[in-house]
Amino acid sequence: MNKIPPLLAALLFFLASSFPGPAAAEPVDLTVLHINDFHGNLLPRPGKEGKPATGGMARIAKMVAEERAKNPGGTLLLSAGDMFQGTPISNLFRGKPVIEAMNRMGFDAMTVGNHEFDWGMEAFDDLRQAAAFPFLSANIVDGQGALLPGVKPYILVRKKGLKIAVIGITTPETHYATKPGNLRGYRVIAVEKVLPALIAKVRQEGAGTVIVLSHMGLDEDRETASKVGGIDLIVGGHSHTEVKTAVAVGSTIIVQAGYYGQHLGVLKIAVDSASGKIVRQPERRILRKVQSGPADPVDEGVAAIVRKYDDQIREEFGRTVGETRVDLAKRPFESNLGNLVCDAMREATGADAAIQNNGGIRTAIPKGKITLEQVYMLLPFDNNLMTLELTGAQIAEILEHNAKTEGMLQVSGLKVMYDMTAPEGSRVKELTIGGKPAERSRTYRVTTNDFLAAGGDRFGMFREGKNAVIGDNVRDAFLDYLRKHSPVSPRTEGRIVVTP
Amino acid sequence: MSADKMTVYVNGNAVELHRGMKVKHALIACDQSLYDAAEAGELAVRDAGGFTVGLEGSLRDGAKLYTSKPDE
Repeated sequence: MNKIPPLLAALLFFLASSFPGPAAAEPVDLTVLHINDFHGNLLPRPGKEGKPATGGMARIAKMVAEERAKNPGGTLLLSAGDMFQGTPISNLFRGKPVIEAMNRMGFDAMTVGNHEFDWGMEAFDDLRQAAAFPFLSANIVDGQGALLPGVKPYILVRKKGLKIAVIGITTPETHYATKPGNLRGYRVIAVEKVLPALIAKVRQEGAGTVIVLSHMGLDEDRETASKVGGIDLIVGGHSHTEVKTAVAVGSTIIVQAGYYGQHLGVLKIAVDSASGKIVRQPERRILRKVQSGPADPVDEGVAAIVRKYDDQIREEFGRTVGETRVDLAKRPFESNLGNLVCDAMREATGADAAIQNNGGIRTAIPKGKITLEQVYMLLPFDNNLMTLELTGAQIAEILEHNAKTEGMLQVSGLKVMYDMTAPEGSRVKELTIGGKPAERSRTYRVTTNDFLAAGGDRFGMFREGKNAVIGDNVRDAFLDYLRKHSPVSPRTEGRIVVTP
Repeated sequence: MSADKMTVYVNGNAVELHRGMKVKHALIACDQSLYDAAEAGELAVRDAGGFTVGLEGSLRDGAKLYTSKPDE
């Protein structure tokens, strides 16, 4: 065989490398629209001090439509989870208004957040089935490794000829950040154990760009990006972070759009059509404030959905949810209303005792029928139950502090006798739990609310408790109790006795 | 640090919290007046990267939070 002379070979190489081959493909412009941690905020939030209202799904829907019009065929709309729980308009209808609005807006996918399980697995399933878009979570599995029924680990979507993978992941905190038992039979696997194989799989299936739709929190997303290769974009949630300029970790971009629909995430990227890699991010500003003033246009279809449910709220609030045979009132130290609230809290968790602060109980309720509106006025804060392990000595310390506050705590499951003539720190003279004298070193399960559990009102002793588990909203526990026990007739019965 | 607790830092002050607690709990634990001011919109809470975070935002062990006047 004749060999090509070296000089000629060099010339041929120079010519080949000097002239372009077939024209290189132009990058494809994509727009990724996203929200996260919406928590049922369908209605705009009134502005403070004369400022215009912000948020509201009808306004977000209009902004989405405007962005889509700028990039038809190249726009994705994603939710990074925690969409439903949090406001009366969503809670009273178990998230249905949010799903209806999302269906109308044409979401491409939603990842499953921890709060998606707040109303139990049946309500979660109802929402999933009502959704016209897929629920994603690749890391919630049962004992056999099967995913939640109907939940997909990922989807492949085609935009402008690009094949894009969207993989959903959920925070492992879900185990203790939702009511115990709501996720029974399932576990949440660490993402680094799941993602590498999934990324390889979607690449084999032809995906160019890989998006992880994460309900993990920004710090965790940074960690994921540093540990797991092959992710082009993480669209995040859970930490409620307003990521105003994209975070870059290696070749991965991370974004997150705050909370409550106050911002719409608008990420514009140019993607290499051959590799799927993000080659350019033309706009640095990636969050759009959702201004909902009178002159800001809304999507009329979504506005009609919101209005339909908002009109029903008035009717729902007037609904009778229970009855009391006695006037319910609160006062320092023991009160019949405080006893009732604490009994409801204790029954909800099966704890040994329950403790609630008077500040969380806002009104009195007269004898007669009790409406939903009265319960909302009674317990207006979105406090959650929190059950902790505390020793008898720690409970006594909490009750000693209560004496200093002139009786801001209400209790159930325990009885305490104070001698107010004794020096501060030694006023608890008798303490029984479950009808027996409290043992100082014994561990008791005590339910309180998350405000006190964080040390609110200077009750820092609650933070010394162990193995805290979050539960229902206090109001929901109270409503459940009323449903089961009405008519109620609570009385003061010597749970907190103060002498002289 | 036990697995059921985490330590976060508010304006440089360490506070120990139950796992799963949120930004609002860190403020309450550190100084309840910070929480009251943030709830009233008089203070913004930012993370170590300078991004504003909501009061219901999740936290992880070692997180750093800072309070300051909100942007106009």
